[in-house]
Amino acid sequence: MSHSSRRDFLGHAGLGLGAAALGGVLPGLQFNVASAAELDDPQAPRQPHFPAKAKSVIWLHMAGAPSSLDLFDYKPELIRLAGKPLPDSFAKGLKTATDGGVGNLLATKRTWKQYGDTGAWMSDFLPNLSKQVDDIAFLKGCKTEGATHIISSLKLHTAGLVPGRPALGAWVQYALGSANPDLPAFVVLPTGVGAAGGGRGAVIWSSGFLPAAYQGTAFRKGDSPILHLARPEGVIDTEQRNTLDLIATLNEHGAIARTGDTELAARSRSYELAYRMEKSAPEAVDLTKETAATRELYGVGAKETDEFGTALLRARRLVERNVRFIHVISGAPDTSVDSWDAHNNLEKNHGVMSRSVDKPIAGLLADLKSRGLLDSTLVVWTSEFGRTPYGQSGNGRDHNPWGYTSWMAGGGIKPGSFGSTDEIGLRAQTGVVDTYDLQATILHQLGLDNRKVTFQYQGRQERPTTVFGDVVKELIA
Amino acid sequence: MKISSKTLLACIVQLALAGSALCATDSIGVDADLMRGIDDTAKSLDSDVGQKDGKAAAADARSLVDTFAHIESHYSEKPETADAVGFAHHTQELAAQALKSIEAQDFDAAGDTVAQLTRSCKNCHEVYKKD
Repeated sequence: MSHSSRRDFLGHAGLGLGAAALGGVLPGLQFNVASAAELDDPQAPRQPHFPAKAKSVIWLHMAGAPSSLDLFDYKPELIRLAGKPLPDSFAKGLKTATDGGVGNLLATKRTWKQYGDTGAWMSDFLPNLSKQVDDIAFLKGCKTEGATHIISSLKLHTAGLVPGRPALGAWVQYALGSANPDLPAFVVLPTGVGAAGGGRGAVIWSSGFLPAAYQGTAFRKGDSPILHLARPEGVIDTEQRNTLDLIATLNEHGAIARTGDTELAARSRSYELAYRMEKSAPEAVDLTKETAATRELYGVGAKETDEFGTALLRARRLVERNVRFIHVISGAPDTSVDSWDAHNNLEKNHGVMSRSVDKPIAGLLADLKSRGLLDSTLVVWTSEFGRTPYGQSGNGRDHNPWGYTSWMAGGGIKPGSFGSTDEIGLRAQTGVVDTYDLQATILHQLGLDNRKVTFQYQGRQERPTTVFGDVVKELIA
Repeated sequence: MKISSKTLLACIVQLALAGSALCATDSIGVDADLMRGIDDTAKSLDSDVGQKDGKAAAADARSLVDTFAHIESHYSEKPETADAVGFAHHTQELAAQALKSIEAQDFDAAGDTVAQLTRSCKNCHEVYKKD
């Protein structure tokens, strides 16, 4: 997994403008970038198409794909049919052997209960989140394409099946700019150990064909979130300030002879942004400023929840600082499992993974609500696909792109349960939500029309959700 | 490669239609290549409508009308494919409706119709999988 460094950030901020200058249309403002200088500041805030209900998105990517059938989607019929082969009536039209054979139907081993006023079914894998269900809209009829992690992860994040398209967060940053001049608008917080810790790597938070300045900025763990951000040892602030002032003066002088050189202007601006970020980025992730009670709420300091809890508390602090899109990736908290990808020993796998995220996510929702931030912050739980009702390796489940659960909370979303899978949880049956629709709905809550956010690339007008994507109006409060 | 793929699709369809006329058989199949061509043309149409490029958009829409006529004809000759015939017919109608809007320079209406058209493509593929 790679992390953005200050050097990368500066390079990208400058290089991105060349691409922008090749032509594009800014959303909302509707002018042609080919002749406009405005994109020389990719951070500049821009107006949405209509009033937004959400100011920020916290995108919780459960990399590896958890089993909805063991977390959210209670299926008594699956329990009844456990041990039997998958009935043809359910499998009709599906290419079922995605990553191994089709085993017999596998019942969940969890204990299930209904919670809250909405009566949402939850398994005992998520005891803390169960207390927050009245703030959550469960999308139980999600579906996608592909059956491999990389393809479906690309589709989930970029609406494409191959690398090269921008991530949703990049589109948001492109469309709305930054609401905080001292921080990037699209921040990525990967967690976990091992290869899956980055949720398939930077390609899922790439700016694709958009100017590189819009890519996600991955924050590292620890006190220094961006590599090489700190002032070099032995250089005091005054020296650095004087150096930057000199560079700015020289650049201003150079700009006189190069009117309209947006790259030069952008580079000067990026130096200043990086200088400001020396202070703003470490401060944004400094959890010593949080009370012990808040840290405990997120599970910070406890072995199983420390890393994910730290990421989510950072996410809340970034929301407070008006960062628009925070992409948190759930990785394995230790080496006992790889990720949520439970092809075998699902009980052990989901036990470890659930314990690492349950308390932090419940804490995040409670904390956002108590601070009055949940109304304007859209929290999204999703994964590249779900897992099958039929077993694999005796005690695991295979990939299931045909039917699984995602959920959304806050940001103007109406809590409750929307859609369903069939009786055994194999295939989305009602309220079907494709990843394009999920993306369109998120953009809508941010005040953006997915069909009007456009960028000209290789002669074609590209959109965040390609030619697809319908806003799920039933979810909107 | 936008133009070449559109041209290719048009050629495929023309050959298919010519073949059908000459020997009254389905000389060309409805296969992955044809579907990829449709996918590309639909994306091109969407882009051209968005850019209000009437000439290019009309060419794309016409190409889709022809292609879906071919697909409808292809499935009409096969057993137990009534839903495929229905999807193809409906999508052909949408392409024709988009063409009408484009010719009337009503690109907003054309955009809405193209969104319906791509939805129709997805609905059909829910039933007729790639495999």
